[in-house]
Amino acid sequence: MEGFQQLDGKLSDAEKWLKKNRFRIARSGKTIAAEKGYLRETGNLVFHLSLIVVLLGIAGSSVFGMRGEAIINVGERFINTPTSYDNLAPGRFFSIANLPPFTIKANNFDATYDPETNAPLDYTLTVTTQDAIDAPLIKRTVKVNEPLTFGSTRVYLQANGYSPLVTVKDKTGAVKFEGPVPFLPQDANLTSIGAIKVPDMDPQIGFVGSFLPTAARDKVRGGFSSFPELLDPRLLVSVWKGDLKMDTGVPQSVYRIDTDEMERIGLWALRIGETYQFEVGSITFNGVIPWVNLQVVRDPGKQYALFGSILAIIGLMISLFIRQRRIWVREVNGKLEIAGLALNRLPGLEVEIQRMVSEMKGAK
Amino acid sequence: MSKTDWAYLSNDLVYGALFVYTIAFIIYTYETAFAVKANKEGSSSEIDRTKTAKSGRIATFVYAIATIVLLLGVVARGVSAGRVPWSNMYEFSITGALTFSLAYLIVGRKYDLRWLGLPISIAVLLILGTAITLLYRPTAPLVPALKSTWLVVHVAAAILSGGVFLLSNTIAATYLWLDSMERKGERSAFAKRLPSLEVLDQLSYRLVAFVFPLWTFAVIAGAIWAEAAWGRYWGWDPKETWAFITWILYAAYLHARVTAGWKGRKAAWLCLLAGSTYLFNYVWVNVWGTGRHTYSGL
Repeated sequence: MEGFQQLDGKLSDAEKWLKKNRFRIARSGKTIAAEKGYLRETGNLVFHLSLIVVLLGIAGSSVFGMRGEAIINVGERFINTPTSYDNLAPGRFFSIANLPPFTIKANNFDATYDPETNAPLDYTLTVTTQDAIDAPLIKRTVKVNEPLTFGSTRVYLQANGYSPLVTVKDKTGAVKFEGPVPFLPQDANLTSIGAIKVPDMDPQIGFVGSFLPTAARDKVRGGFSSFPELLDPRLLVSVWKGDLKMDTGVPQSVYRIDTDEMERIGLWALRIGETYQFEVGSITFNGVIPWVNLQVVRDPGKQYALFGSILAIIGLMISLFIRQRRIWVREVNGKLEIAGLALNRLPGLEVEIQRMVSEMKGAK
Repeated sequence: MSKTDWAYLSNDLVYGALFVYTIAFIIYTYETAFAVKANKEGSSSEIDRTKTAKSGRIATFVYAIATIVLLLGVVARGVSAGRVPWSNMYEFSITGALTFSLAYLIVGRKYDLRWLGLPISIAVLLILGTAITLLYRPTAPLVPALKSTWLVVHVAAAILSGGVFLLSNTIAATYLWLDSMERKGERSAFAKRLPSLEVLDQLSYRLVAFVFPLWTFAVIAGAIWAEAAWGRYWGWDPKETWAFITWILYAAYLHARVTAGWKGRKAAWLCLLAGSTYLFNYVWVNVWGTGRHTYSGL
């Protein structure tokens, strides 16, 4: 109880004052119970209901949404079909047939790094997109904080690395493999590892490789990269012959080779343009192109989650800062007794009761 | 002035602030010691506040000057980097110390908080000292993921909330200390100068109630930014998880106070628990955590 007061006065004056100040009033006999600030309850209700909206939004996203990733080399085109993805996680009620038919061609990728700290300064990917097969071509740029948007699907630039371009020939000089091979970065300077598998050669040949955009060497780490840009690129390969086990039907990583039943027949470091001859063929390091990892996300519930969160803050502020208070007045032996209760313990009630008393006295 | 000049100026100002805070700390200590001494001489256990009032005012004045110097240091850091100075732990720490000090000074205009001067100046000296000795990094440009307007919005809200949470925690801890003293008997001479338990209890609660919506906003702004930068608005990254835990605990605290009528010791403990999750998030997750909120070089 706060602000207890006793005064001479009539119950009807108190009632008049409370009505004028828009209290809700319940009068029974010689007592009045009044309450004001119901908005706080409303705020409370809004807050809790909006949390449900947030939860529904999250649930909606995971059930009706999808999420997938694809590595594409610069110069290549990504077509939004299930087979284009390196991994694809559709929600329970997302039909893969409903993937929007957009395409993204990666035209150019620029990464700049701070020469002192090696930290990235900027990543910019320029692309040409099409919303559908016959739709007009649109040139756009993608940055880390600026994804592409196709309806409710967004495409994010998530990672980048290098794909060495190699040509593998057999003893007769016939080309058995040619093209870019994405290597996976292992550190901030893009020291990368990867594998080149050539199942068409007899015996089968695999290259376990490291790619160093700026080659350096020390005793502890061996070969490593000392800067993420292509200042002195080097491709290190060890050549293995034997069974690549690609016909067993067991899925295997494209970045690694199981060399348990293979024999190493060579080891070499290549600069761009160089060729290494080994006993059953040759490998040529033709150049390097960057790759980017695109993350494709369909998140249909996120607007609801955001809406719910904003509503939650509003409800919360109302329930925290609206004063809900009760005032009781009763007549005892011809005198009025007044007291109040601040339901959420916000200050100000005593002052209000003081004002009530002085205004009732003034009114007389 | 070149960017390097600004960076050096910022360092000098932060060192300067540390120096002035030390002076404020010494005067606060003097004030405290003087008050206790005055009491021992007198026969009554009451404190003669008039004797300490002047040195208390001087200490707070010096503290305000230190805070202005620190403010200039933080601004100079921002100018040298050409962005808001909130991209690594050194910058968070100096900005955090600034908001904490400002919260103390602003709240102190309404309530008499000079009694808090000693613990608060110790806390600020610790934060700044750690920042200068352990966390210092030269100014560097932002990594691509941080290049966003949301850096300003999200981090400002988070730092501001942190400063106020810390203040509220200091008050809750003081409450618990005084409470245990009163339970054993009488307050010590120094402790007699501090406000009543009732006042501390209320003040700690009001600070949390004031800053909780801001903290909620910081979390939501973070989620909106994460959606743009990382392709998901919530991913249970360690920092996100701990921010959520802090949110839950403070929500529980407010609920306990408003709905269940908790106050006093139970409420103070809950407040401290919630605040410690914020600190844990700041220290542990930044230094040892592995998540998307850890950017190179702390």
